[in-house]
Amino acid sequence: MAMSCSTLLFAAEVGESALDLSLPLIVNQAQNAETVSLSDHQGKIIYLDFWASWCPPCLVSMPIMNEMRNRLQSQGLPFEVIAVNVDSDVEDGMDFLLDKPVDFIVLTDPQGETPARYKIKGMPTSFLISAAGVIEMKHEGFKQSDAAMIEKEILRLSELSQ
Amino acid sequence: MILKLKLVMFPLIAIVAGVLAGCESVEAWERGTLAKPEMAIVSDSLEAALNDHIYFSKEASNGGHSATGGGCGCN
Amino acid sequence: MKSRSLLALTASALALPGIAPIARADTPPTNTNIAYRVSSYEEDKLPEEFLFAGSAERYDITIHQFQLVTPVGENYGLTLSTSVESMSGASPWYAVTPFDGEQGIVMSGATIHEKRRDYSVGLRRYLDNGSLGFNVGTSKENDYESWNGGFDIQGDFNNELTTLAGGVSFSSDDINPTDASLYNRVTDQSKRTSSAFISVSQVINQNSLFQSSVNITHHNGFLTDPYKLGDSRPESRTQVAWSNAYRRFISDLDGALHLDLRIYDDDFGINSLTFDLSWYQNVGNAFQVIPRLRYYSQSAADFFTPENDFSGLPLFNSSDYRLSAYGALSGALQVQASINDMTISFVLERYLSDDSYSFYDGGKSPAIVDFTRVSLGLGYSF
Repeated sequence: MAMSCSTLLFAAEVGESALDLSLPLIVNQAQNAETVSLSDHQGKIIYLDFWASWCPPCLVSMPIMNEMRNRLQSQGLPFEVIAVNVDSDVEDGMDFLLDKPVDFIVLTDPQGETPARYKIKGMPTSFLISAAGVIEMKHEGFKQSDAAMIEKEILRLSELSQ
Repeated sequence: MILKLKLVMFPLIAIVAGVLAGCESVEAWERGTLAKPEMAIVSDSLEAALNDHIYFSKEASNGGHSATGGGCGCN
Repeated sequence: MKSRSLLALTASALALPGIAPIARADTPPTNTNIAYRVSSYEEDKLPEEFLFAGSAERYDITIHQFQLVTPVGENYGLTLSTSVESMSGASPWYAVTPFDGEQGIVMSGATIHEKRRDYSVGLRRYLDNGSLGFNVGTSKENDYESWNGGFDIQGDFNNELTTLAGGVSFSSDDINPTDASLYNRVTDQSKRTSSAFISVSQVINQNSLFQSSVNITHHNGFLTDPYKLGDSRPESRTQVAWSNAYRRFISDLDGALHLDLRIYDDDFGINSLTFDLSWYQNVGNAFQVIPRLRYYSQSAADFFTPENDFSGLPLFNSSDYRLSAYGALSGALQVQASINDMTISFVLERYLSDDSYSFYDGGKSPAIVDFTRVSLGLGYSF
């Protein structure tokens, strides 16, 4: 997956190469957590989601995407979910995860640098990034019925890369 | 409107204008504080409905931030 | 002899716009929420020196409120509200100047229990950048029946930092005073009310926001209080209220400041000012303590007289204390606990009125009330 290392401020739009990001894992951030980059997962279809504990549709999406991610991975699909928590107080994000844990990768960006680079206009905003590192879908908000549409896109992208 | 209310109204308009002129653009991911329940205009709807109603029955004033509800034989 | 003036609860949550946090995208509720509140309201006795005849015991009211807010499908929110209230007590019947020149209030005799019920339904349709709301409701008591309905619209602008809202509502009331023939009261009267509001909400910065609204109401029909002897009021009334709300979070203290100011004017000659100050103090993760102070000041109605004028000469006349010039100070304390998906809240309020608290001159009434209110609330989210 060719990642753009450009520092030019493109709005993160469909058709562009996804800007790389490197953020600490939320769960271990207290003890100098390891950082995870998008480029660590090149070759996979990535669902990049910006969420916060104070955003109800974000919270609705978490268990739904968790179920989808586990199910598609068990079917052998190269798919991962990377969720960036933007709570200015990390504890708030962690409290939610303690209550409703997920299996996918959750990173923390309390300063909001990454959502700024991705030019987020609403919460939640999610991006579907192809195995080639290109943004194929940008989605604002989340309703339960969005899950079917997202899954369809993921499957379409997985067929393209075969 | 009587003079006393005018005295309150014009400084109030000035304050409002000043406050709004100082408005910042708050990004989508920076709205956590604004989303807190204690930052709502009405934090407790049953309490607000009860208060609106008690004061409506005991005082001569009516209305405010909402449309009217139903009537009662109480004012 | 019976007495009326039941306290009533109206307005579902949806008739109070601005109830959804402003900075969030307009989204339907994601959980179902049920809430219950029981309140006990007790007025202080009328001071002996002002009692000319009748019972000095004033109103004792118990109110039960229920509300359910739930998502319907993905784009709608539904609010169902109902309340039941029971009341007993006496109220001022008319005012005289007794022989020694002191103002005397003639109270009604002690009352039997009265009950009032109201129901309302509200439906909200959420769109990409706003929402539309509809609500209908009814209120019924022995001598009073009211039907109301309303519509409102909210739109987000400026990346959801600005919200414009507006709405209209209507109410149609039928009044059938009890013991009409016994006390020579009118029968079968009606009243129509229409109301409109517009409001602007603006995010100021990450920690504060502001809302300003104007609300105009017009009443037409029977506006007199049939239970007050000699009471006669115009058949139309127009009211204007301008409300302003400021909310500011202070992170060093982990609390939020609420300031509200309402200016009111009507064509009965009444002007008023209402100032509300509260502080929402978070205590730990589960508790909130909310002290509150309210100041209210009103002028007297043009046709208010401290003693009833039974001469029949003035067309409009009332000695109703609620139309007199007075001010009121009230203090309240609310304590709230959130445990898992439940919330419990407790409120204590003390309201004191006095003609010297008002900055308006005008006719005064000794029958203005002081009251104590206690409420206990429960909420559950699932």
